[in-house]
Amino acid sequence: MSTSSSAPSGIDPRSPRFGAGITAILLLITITLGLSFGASSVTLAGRALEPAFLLLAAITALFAWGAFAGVQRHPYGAIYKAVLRPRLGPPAYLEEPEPPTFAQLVGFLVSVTGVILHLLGVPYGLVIAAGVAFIAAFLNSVFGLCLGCEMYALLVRARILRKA
Amino acid sequence: MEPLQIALIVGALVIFATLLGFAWQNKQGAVSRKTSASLPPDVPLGLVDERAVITLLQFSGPFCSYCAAMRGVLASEASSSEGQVAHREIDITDHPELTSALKVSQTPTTFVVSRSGHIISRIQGAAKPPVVAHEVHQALTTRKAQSDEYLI
Repeated sequence: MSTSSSAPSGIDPRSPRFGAGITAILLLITITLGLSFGASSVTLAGRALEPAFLLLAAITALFAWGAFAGVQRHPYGAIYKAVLRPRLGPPAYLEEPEPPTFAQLVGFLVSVTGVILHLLGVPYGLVIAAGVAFIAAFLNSVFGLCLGCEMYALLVRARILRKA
Repeated sequence: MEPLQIALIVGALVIFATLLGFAWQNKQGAVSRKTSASLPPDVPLGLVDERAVITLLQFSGPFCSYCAAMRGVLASEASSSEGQVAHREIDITDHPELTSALKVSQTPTTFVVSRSGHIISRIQGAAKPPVVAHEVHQALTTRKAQSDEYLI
């Protein structure tokens, strides 16, 4: 009857939303940097040193942290716990850690695509990937919508995914 | 690129994401009713509680932000109904056929199901307790009216 693991070890749902807010702002800065520097360098080394690329690479690494170590071990979660949590009331409900961890994986796949496209010298590859990741992070933070989770249900319905 | 152009692109992106968010928010808790008089049940009878008048059948998934919240809302509705309402929860990955047959594209999705396995209404996403209470009341009233007709 229950879902994968209805463990009592739920997480405060505001913690991943706080992290998504930081990510959304960083992605917006990435897009601004990517657009203002215009055409990317001709050499691979030149492209790898552009500020927009460095920022997106850092964001990608943070997504990987959340996706593979679990969202409970994410540094943004530690900031939330130390700074914000003591100033807020208790959460209205607890969330299972799987959905936000899955969202981190989706974010990682999108941003790593931008990293690869940029290194290959595809014009606007970085900006477009950062834009897609921004929309997902913004929706997660402001509206509490987990885009990756919604996609998961659609994939099951289309029978692309079987029992996880 | 000119700073003004960049500002316009970034602004448009934020507005687009905001509109998407409002579109999704409007859909949350949306209710649709359909009256199917068809003989074969919409839902396998094994998923319906035959002791209750109606069953709140919740479709959940392994990656679902609001399933736990919805579980609480539906369970409290069932427990305050004196046995007339039951709450059952299933995993979409355990029932992929039913998931596509009923066009479930979002978790949680909840169906108000009659004892005969027919869908009375469908609640999309996470709904607030008053919305669920209203649907349950509506469903119980129609069931009551129908059983009264049979008595006459």
